[in-house]
Amino acid sequence: MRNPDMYYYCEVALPKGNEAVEACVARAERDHIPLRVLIKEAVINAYEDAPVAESRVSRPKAKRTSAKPRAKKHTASDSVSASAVSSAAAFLDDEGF
Amino acid sequence: MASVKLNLGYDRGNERTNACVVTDMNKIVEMDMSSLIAEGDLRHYDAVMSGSGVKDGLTSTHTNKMHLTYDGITYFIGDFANQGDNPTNGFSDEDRYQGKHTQISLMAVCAHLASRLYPYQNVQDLAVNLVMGVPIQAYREKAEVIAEALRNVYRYNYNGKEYTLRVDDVRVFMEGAGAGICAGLDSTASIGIVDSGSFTTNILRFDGARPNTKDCVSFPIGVGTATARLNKWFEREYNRELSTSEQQQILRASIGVDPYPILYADGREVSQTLLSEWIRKALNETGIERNTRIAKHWSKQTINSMKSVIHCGGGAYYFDASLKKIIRSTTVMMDSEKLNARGYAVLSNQIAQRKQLQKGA
Repeated sequence: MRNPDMYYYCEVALPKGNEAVEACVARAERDHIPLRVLIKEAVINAYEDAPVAESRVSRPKAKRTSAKPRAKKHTASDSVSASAVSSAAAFLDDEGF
Repeated sequence: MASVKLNLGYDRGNERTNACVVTDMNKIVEMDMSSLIAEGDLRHYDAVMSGSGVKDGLTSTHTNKMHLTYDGITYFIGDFANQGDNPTNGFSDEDRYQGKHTQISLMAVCAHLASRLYPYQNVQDLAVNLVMGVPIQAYREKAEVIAEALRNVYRYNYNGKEYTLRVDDVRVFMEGAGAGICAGLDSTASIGIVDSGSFTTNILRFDGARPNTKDCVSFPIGVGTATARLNKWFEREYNRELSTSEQQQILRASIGVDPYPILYADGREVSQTLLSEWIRKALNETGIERNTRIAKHWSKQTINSMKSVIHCGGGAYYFDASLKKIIRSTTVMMDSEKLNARGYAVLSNQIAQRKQLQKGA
């Protein structure tokens, strides 16, 4: 479940005929990957190489209640942390692997 | 035809299934899907969608069309199972962790992740090292039975493509252990894990890297307990039950993620004020019930001796406020419902590396 305080949501129109867009669409159809996943990856990868032009973004106005827990951030949410790796090693040592 | 090996972390919840692989570049590739599976007829479904047939309740849109044919039977998986016959999460089956339901789910997960990891290669030959978690009771009673039942070679068709899946190695651990590893254990301190699921709560204590089995317990109270209460009050007022999707919308609204849904019953609009009151009451009462069970197993002394308590699982978003009444220092990690699968994937990776080193030695 996505915490709206942790993510930006934006509407984006993808031009037909654009090489990169067509490649994403073809891959989505061929490999049954949702198009939004591929576009998201493409945008993030492109930003790492060059600045991305600012697009119109809007954050959903979700009412924050006191019952909602504040989530602790990972430093890099799509990579394994060093502490996870060392914890796994210690766990397996203890299990006798 | 390419052949690949996956080191898979697999968390088969009663409501949602999460699976994860850690790549060579240490990146997480994961999936999250509904645990529902149903038998289905793809030709009938396609005929209906093209307008030449009729079926009650069939919607005209679907997101992920996951279907699999194994042993002559076609299964619809995840959200797509709602288009099949009698979708089930297998909860009533005592042997659900090693039975057909889990096997079908595993086959789909492996094919799906392989296609994402290797999009440009024609990968159809898969081998998997599997690490999965089960409730503590099941872990104590039948971890080996589960592992033995899942080690097999499966030949199936997934979304139109033929696959062979060899499940080579299976390790079964306690639910919650993956989350502890993902959050980071402490070699010099005790850490508590409260894993809040849809039908089960697991509590674990790690002293360093070692689970303190005396303080590890599971009991059958979860988010589903709260929604059952909500559903009972709703039916008493409006003479109909809430669908699973409506219950989920109301749950998300209760923590401010979405607005309360506009619902109708018998031609009249359902009061959103009542929905809000009922879900808060349901979560509160269920939270108290959970806390009573937790306090029965973890004394104040035990709780105070822990460096921290990680609150994980999908239920953490709903029960953290009530849990904090007895354990003030809980931490809800981001993507809390995915932590177990990630931790199991890290374990699977390491087990594979150790086996490789042992072979080379």
